[in-house]
Amino acid sequence: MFYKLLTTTSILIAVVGSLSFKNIWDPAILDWKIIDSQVSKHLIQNNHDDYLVELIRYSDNGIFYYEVIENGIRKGFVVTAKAPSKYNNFDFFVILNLNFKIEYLEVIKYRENWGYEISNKKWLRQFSKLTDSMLGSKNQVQAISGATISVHSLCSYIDFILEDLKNI
Amino acid sequence: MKLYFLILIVCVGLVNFAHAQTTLNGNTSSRILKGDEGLHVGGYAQIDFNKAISNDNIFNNSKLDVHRFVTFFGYNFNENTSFVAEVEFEHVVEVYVEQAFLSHKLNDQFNLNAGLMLIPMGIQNLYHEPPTFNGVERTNVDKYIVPTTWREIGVGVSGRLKSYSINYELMAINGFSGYSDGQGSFSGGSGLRGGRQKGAESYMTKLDFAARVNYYGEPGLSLGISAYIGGSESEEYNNLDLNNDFELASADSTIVGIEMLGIDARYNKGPLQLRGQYIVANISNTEQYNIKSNSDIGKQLSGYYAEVGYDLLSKKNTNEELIGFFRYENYDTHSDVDAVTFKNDTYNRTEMTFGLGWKVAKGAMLKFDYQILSNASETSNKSEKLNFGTAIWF
Repeated sequence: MFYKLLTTTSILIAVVGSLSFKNIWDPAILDWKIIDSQVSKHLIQNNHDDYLVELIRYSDNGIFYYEVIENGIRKGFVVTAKAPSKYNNFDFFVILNLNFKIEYLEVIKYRENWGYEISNKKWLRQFSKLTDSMLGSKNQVQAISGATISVHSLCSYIDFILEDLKNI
Repeated sequence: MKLYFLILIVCVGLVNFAHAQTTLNGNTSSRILKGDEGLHVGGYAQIDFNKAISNDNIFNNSKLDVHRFVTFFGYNFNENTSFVAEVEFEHVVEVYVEQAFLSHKLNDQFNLNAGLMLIPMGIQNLYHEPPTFNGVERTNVDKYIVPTTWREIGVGVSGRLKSYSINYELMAINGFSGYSDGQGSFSGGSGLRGGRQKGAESYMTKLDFAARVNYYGEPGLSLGISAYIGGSESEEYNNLDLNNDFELASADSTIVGIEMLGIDARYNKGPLQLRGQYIVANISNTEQYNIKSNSDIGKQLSGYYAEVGYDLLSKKNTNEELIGFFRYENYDTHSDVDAVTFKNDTYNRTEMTFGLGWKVAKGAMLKFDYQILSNASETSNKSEKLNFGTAIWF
């Protein structure tokens, strides 16, 4: 009787637990040529071909953290993520130095016809050099009329990444 | 052995369950981090209180209304294919489908869209969620000149030219129903608004076309130009004998040609918000149409507004916003009329609106405004209106 009860409960917990575990988005679909060229530009000074980008962790929010290593020395981080827009998702990557300062941010794929203004590179430049997750505060980021949801979504992700990186 | 197996199952289950709970019990930021889910759900609503202020001894009741409650759904079939739908409850009892279209992305420059779509004209027909605009009610340029929410069935393409920071949209759709059940749908006071088919058993005589180009190259700035060209549809063309000149001439007098052009600008800089819009519509064949349908639609409709807003809490250490704004708006559904139509100056309307919008949270706003309304007729008296509203978006 005890074993039956334990078995049923265990299977139930295992099934519920497994169902709760989300599918992970695969960043392999991203155009890594773009990411590599920006990593070379912002983190690698010497030999542009002599560096590695290695996955160090990922979260079930679809955020992938990589470290950039040149000649065996860590030079910084690349983070790729997929964030929600109004009806769909968009992909972006962010490059950070060893002090967790943002060196570069780019929206690499924006899928829908609302909120696309966040992919404007001039607008994204305001994120450079940010270290603290203060983006949730108003006036930290220039508002965009017509892209409120995507701006909020990107800021929430950047906030999350800046906080999460400190645990690495 | 059996016990080890059970312990293993329990451990796997608990780890997975705890892992899921870590995500689900997070703060607002982590809740928005939804990852790659196929279904996106959201919505918006607007609940209004309107009170006409009388200058003389005439009393008017106040009006309270759940003006609209809209739920939206987006479903991603794969990386490039998605379906978007909005279902609207208007004044509680009216139900409409506001959008329902399939979108397939071929590349960044080219998306193919098909279904019930918003006509890309002006600002508010595309961006009409209540917290995105100042004032309790939508602007009347976007009601009487652009008949927001204007949506019809068709196919289109859209995309972005990233190097130039330009977004474009182009579509072929069915036009307005200008004449059905022996009656005209257009009028001098409401313009084309009565002819929207809204995707409900729509019919088409000829295709219409709409296009919009938007420039977003400077942070905070958005410049748009929109165009629409086509003609209204008429049920008189059903079962029409093309050899019968009399019937053909009769049917031809039940349609109008439509050319609409709009320019708009939005600019945000810190606490400052600026926006403006100008729309003009030229209508042809109105003389025949007005005689046939005993109507008085204008030969030209036009309208514009300019608005300035400022966040009065910008210096305070809070995420709330208190936006004070002023808007000047003019719209005239009789900008020009044909030879058989009397030019009605009461259709040349001016509104000055000033008010406050208190954003208590992202997507949640309490609104108040006061409007001074007038028209160009010599006998016109100014009237005033007080509005309160709740606006949400999630």
